[in-house]
Amino acid sequence: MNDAAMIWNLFAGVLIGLAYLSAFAFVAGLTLRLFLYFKTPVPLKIVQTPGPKNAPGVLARMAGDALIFPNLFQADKALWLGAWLFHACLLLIFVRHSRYFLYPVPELVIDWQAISIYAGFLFPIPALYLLWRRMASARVLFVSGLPDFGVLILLTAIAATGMLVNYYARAYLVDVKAFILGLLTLTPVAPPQHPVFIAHFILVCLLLIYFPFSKLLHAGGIFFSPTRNQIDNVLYPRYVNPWNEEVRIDQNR
Amino acid sequence: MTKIANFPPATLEWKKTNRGLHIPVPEMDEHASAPLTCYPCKAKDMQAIALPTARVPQWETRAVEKLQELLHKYRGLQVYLDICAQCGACADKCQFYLGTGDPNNMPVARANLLRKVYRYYFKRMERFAGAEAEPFNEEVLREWYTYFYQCSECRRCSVFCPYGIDTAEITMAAREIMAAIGVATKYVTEVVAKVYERGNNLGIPGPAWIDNCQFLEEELKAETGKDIRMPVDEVGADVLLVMPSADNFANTDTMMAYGKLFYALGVSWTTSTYANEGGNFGLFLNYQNMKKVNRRILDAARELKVKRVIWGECGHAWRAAIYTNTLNGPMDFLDPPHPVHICQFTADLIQRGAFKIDKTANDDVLVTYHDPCNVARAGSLLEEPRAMIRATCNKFVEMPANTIREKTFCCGAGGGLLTDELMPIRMAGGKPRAEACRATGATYLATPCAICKAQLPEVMKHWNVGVKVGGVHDLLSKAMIL
Amino acid sequence: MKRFLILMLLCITVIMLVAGCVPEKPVKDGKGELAVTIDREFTTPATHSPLEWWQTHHPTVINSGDIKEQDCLYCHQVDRSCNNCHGYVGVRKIK
Repeated sequence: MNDAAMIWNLFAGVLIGLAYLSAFAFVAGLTLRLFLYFKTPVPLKIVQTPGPKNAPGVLARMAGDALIFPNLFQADKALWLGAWLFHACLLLIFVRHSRYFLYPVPELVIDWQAISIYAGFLFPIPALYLLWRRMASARVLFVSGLPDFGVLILLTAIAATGMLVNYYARAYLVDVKAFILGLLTLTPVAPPQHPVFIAHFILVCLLLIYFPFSKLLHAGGIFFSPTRNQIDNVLYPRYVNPWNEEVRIDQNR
Repeated sequence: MTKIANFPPATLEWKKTNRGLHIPVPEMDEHASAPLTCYPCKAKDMQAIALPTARVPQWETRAVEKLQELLHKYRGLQVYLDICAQCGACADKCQFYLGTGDPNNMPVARANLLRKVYRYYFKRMERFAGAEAEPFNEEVLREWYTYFYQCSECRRCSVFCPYGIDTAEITMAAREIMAAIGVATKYVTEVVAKVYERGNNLGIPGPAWIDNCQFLEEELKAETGKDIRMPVDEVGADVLLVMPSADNFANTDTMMAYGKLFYALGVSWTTSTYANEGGNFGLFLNYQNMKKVNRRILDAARELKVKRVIWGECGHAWRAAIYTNTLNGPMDFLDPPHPVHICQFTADLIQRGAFKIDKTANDDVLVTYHDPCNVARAGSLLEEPRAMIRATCNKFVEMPANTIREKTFCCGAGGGLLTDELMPIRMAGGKPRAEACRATGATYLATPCAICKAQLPEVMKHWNVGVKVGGVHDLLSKAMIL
Repeated sequence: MKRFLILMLLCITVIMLVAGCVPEKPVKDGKGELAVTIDREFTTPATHSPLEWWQTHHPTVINSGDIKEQDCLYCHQVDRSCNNCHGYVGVRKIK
């Protein structure tokens, strides 16, 4: 085996390690975090008025929150449009990518290809708008930290490398899929020798590792927001706070 | 320091458009309201409310421990500290930012004051990624003490947050942490201590309360010629009414309206000198004191053997009242439904035709309605007060749509800010409400909240809006034919 | 924590079970059910060389119109040397 091949094998090994590390960080981190939210008690009802009066109402409210961001629409129409396009593109791109992870590939995903492909072209527009807004508005700049820019830049970089792999520096899909399926079935094979694909892949791994530690937790956390996921029935029946009894009120006099 | 007199910038133009009130957003003005802090608490008050009388030893560590404890107790706090995307949609929604232009009064920035401490101790990865993180120290404590007492916990920001992040939860947590290390404001601690000592926020002693009630009985006799009673401590009455103590003392029209209301119904009622206060300042301090203040009401209800407890026209009284069942329940020794707000009670009776009403009695005023943040946004009472006004007045006008109901602007003095040293903040925070009121041309501003009734007349005077502020029941009282 | 570990183990078991159902990747003259085979009687056209380049870029060439899909089918048998790969990566199948 010559040196180049040895270095490549080593690199492939590191890449596979990174892939598993990031998958573990993402799955374990996200599960533990959401589990933490789940088991943390909600002492008092703090439903946002006007609140839903029953469980289907809560479901509708949360589906609305996840799909069309009604609160943001009330707050800022331009931001709403940017944010909604941003997330809609991410969703379509994610659906499209499921063809690299699933075998057999569902017909629906193949049929959606035609629409999803435009999401990739559209994505940079809302992403750059959000980036521009962070810098152009003094108020938003004031509250923006490094990671707020970092995440947007990372997502834009992932999209850019993805577009390159798809259009200008094509990778051989069969090798890509074999690599991904190998990882998923715990029988890893070497990745395709394609620098742009590898860059795309590494960036995604970084995103996955960072995800459960960051504000990106809003993806799952939104469903645990007490103002949005409670039924507005604070008066009746009695709502019980699990740690209410621990609070002693006779400590003085 | 000279800046304080100037804000909010006078150049901003507020005007009514057909889409609501145009709300001008001031330029950012860093540290504009930083010099405005509340007077610190006194040792005797802190002792009375079971809090440390002075800064505890190792207060930095103690504060972090308290933060950790709260993170495990409040899902809201844990989730909201984690998931904020820093989008800034809430930035121009807070009346205190609109009034002062101080960026730390933007809800997201206010929350970040706590968030940066949270990141420092509990979010290593975010620190590594370059997010702002700071250990808890004197400087941070000063920021907390300043800006978490420039938040009225009105929750307006949460209505505009895509995740419903409630900055009030974060403010409450920060205040609870500060209280645990012996840092609180004179106003809030004093009020809670007075409740334990005298039964009410104003510190009115029992005999004075009874005196005032007798005086009001005489007033009612002179006005109506009828023997309308203001019973105190009457065992076996049907209803225990817990109103804000200010009704007995300052907003006497509202108190007399309660008297007429029960007289017309023929219902026996009473107030209690042990718990003659609905308002719960424990809500602005910590859970333990909120629970204890609330507990007094149920104790009084048991002692007086009443069938029902009705809460009077008060904002944070209602916000705490809706938790009564959780805090000190079950309330099954009372008749359901419970708890009841007087507006629910009255609106229901009006609808059933229990009163004879002459609406023309209120024709001398153009009425508008201010949704108190605690009654409307925290307490879900949007329709009942409006139904009452419509039933008692011919001339009723709503303020612009983006300033009422769940989007209502706080009067600017809720959350324990109704204190003189914060006057510039209060006037700045009251500006949106004043402008919304000006846009209607109303001459009478009805509101069911004692804090609003104390704050808004000063706000309206300060911003030159010619409107009288009063209760919702005052209108009923005027229109009711006995 | 224990529950979490059990959950993880369960996931790995599921992955192993799924792994059994995933076929080997389609390779020209390779093994497995998806292997690509082409009748030997045809000579490879010049455009197909180098093979790696052609495998990657044939969609672009075909989409640009220089070669039509019909031309491929002259030598390529749809099931054995088109749709086994297309199905594997989730691309529209050739009819």
